[in-house]
Amino acid sequence: MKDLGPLSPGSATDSRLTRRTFLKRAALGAGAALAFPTIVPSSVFGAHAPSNRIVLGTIGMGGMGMGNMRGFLGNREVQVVAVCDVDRDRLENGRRTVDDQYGTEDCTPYHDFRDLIAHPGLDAVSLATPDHWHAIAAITAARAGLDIYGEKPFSHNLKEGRAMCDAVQRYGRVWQTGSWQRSVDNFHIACELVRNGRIGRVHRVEVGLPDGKFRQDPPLTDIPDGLDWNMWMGPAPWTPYRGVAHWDWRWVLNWGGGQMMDWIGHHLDIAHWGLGLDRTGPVSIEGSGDFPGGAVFDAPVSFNFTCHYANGVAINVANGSQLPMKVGTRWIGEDGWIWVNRGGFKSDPVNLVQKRIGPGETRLITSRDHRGNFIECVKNRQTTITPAEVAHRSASVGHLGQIAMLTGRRIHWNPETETIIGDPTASALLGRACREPWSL
Amino acid sequence: MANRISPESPIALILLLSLGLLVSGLRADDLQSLGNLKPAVLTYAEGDDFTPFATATAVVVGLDPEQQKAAEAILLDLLDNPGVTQAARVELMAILERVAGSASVIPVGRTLTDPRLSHSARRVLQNLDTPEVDRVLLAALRETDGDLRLGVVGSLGRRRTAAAVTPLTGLALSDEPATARAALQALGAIGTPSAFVALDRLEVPDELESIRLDAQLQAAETLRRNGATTEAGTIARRMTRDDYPTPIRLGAYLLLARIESDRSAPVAIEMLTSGVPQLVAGGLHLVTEARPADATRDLAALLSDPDIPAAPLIQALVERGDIAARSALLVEANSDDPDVRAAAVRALGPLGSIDELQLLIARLQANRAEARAAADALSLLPEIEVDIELLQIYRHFEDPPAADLAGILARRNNRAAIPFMLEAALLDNRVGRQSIRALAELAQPSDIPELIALLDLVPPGFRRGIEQAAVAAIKRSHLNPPPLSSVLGALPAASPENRVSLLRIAGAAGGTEAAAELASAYDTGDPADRQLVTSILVRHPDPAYLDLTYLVLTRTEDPTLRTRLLAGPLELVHDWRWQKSDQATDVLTALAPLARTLEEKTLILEAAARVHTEGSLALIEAFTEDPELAEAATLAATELASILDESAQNP
Repeated sequence: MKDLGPLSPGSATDSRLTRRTFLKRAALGAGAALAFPTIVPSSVFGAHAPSNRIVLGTIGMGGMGMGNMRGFLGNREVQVVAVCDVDRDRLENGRRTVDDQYGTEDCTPYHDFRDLIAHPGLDAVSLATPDHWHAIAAITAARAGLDIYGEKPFSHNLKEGRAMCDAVQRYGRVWQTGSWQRSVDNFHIACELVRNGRIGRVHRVEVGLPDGKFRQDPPLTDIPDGLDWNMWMGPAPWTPYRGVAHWDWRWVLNWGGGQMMDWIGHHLDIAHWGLGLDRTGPVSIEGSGDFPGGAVFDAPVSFNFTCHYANGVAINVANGSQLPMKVGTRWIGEDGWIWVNRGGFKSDPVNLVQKRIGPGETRLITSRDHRGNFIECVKNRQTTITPAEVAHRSASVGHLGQIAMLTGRRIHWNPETETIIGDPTASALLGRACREPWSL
Repeated sequence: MANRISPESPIALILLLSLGLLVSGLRADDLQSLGNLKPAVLTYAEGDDFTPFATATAVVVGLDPEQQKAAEAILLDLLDNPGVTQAARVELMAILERVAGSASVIPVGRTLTDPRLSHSARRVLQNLDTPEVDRVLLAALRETDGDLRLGVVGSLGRRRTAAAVTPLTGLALSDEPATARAALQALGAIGTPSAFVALDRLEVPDELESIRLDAQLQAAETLRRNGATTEAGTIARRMTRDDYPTPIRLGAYLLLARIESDRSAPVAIEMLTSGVPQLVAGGLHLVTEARPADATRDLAALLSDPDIPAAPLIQALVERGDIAARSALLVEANSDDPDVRAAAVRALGPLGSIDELQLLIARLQANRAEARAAADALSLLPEIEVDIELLQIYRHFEDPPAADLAGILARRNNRAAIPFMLEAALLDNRVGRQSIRALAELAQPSDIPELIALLDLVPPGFRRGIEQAAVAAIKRSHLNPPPLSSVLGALPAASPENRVSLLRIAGAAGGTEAAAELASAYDTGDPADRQLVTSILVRHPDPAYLDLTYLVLTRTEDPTLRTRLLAGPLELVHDWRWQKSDQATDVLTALAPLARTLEEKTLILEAAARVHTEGSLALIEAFTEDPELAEAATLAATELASILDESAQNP
């Protein structure tokens, strides 16, 4: 059995019992005999806490879901107690991973995310489903009083993103988006340099994202045993099974948004952060893209659009092979430029990085552990380094770029009201109806 | 096939030309080509050739309003044909979604009751800005049941159809829990005054009461958003009462804070002093942005309330960023609770002044958490005078506090401290050690000669620290190749010990000049030199070291060391596999003949499988001749060949 630090698995169970007693007492004064959750991380109350661990459930046991869960399993302040997936094999893999880590047999597997959200004693969920499930799962979790670590892109479409932000705000939840580049030094340094005017007034930004992917439409095939295909599709349009689900869903607009939406929550988010534009959006968007004409795979394989902001900055978003610096974020100012990517930092003049930020200059929130930042904020109720509104604004740029490319027109956008001006057809693409019986 | 979705796109042009069309000017006539879908839609089934629909999708891009209407009419005409298959109708409506207007409402609305088409119909209709849609949805509400009705209910909620309040109120009393729940949620989404009143009057079973209250909260929020702030405020205030469930009270308080955005601090204080843990937590969330701005003292005064968790409140005050919290923080800096004390000390960094300098320096000697908090605070204290004062204290090299101050000066980016740190490096004590560490944070390329000069002077245990500081200074230049002239220039006259240090510095910095020097050292044949060079290659993979690494691999027998040597080039392969896949292939091709053991070959095979090039495929296919690797290589080759085939079809 692994050493779990101050709380052994046995005492974790004990602490949950204590937590229930504590919460029951907390709820009594509220007359809460109703079906409301009464969740508040007891660690908020420091030394008075019945338990200092954040009790977590994870929804989606694919690549990112497992990766995030392993990260949380390695955090001594977290206890993962439940997992969820609509694929039986993946669910079992997730359950086994948790139990192997703790040396126990008590991780609860759930087929339906609503049952996981109702799991007694949860403080938070880690959400890593395909994009088309983000909104409903997140809103359900927020309504249940859970804090959320959610994968990027924030939402499948813009209206769903706004609904998610509203829910997070309405229920006072802590949200962290998986835009983990914010918690990496070179991105943080680059953004602080830009924010503090080291390259002068920025007039243009190039955001290079990986080139899109495409596969030929596979033939119809039988649904594998153990995969609940109807639940997997959820609110997305019904479509016959062609062997396309895990991983490859990203190249299908009904479920994802291609490489463009996958990465917009990274490099565009960083662009916004450096400019201090991460709580607003562009005022116009135009561009074009190559959309494969498949029955299944239809996300753009290449894309190139430019967003103009009210302060005069233009952000050009394109797949990397169309940009001089390829993948990454490059801010271009009156006095030079800075480019940053994973493991990379370049600037002109070359010694810009030496001009570190001193006391009294603008400091951006610092995190060196993205998941840890979430757990810390769950405990102290502060805002994470990538809260819902910020993530929504970076995803919005992708959604608007997509609409501009799909309609072939310049889109005029009001970032305050989040409405497209004078183009009803384009406006209709801001959201979509959920497949019955699902709704936001 | 890919469709360039832009009227100016060359691919679109080719595509449309191939259909006998031109993009501009004639588009309205060309739209008639949508009618060419007719043969396909009469027979189309899922799994059939999708090309006709893909082509039609491309045609409807970039249309002006008149052209959209024309396209809409053609698509509706197709849908009107009773011979069109259900699968084709789904695809036609997906195209229609891009151009639909009011003409679509009635014909598409007719399909809302069709189980296969209802969702497609709602996708077309839900976001259309015309009241006719509300009428067809209301009609469908009467004509559907089960899941289809749930879908219609959801669409009415998303559209905020005021006329749906009465029928939805009826459905909220349904015996079917799913229907009642959906109706309640839709009423909340509609959020008109009448929806709120309806929700207020509804008496629902206990299991739905939480949904009803939640919907009321959402309705109140919608009222606010639509300008009815007085009504929303009255409702929110009512829902903060303690006879409401705590989650509703929390939501109501947060709504109240948004409504009273200029006076949200009193709301935060009310929550923080409620004694209800969930509300206290919510109050903490509000502290950062709470207004008016001059409420900071009132908020900070709550630190004296024993029922409010002080450490999170201090953190919230730091986020608030108002130095008016300073006096309260000074009190908490002497709290009996060590966690609170540390939080207050740390907060004095951003919120304190030079007046706190001595207090913070003294706390550097406190327990570990508090000392770390004091160091953090000293690193952030604003004002240039703080830098001057800290340097004055540090330059006497008296410890405490000089050793801690070295790191703090580095974090403050105080380059004026560099000459003193170079001097302190000679001290064989904690001040010397910490100063060398600080130099690694601060030293610039111009400091490299002085750092090299220190190699002969510092205590032996500090030599590695100086090397690391020199490497950091070189890398700080961000030049390629790195500026090694002072390092390599010192080599000819260096003592044997210094020569090792200089080679380690150059080796860690990387680049072609370093590679040449390392190759030269390896060529001496001296076992010590070879060991040194090998260890550098293992620790610092660099594109310039590839040839030398290949050479060293041919002369290294130790299997563990060989694996570590292989790791460097394979790391580069991993980094290059997308953007520099040809270079990655070259590295793999060079490594493959050098692999001796199954483990080494497997490492190369695994790396090759991730590089999507014909060269990499050839390499993997060569591995299929190896009996030990045949099975794995065959699998990898099949997979990669499939990926390459797909890529070839991907324009």
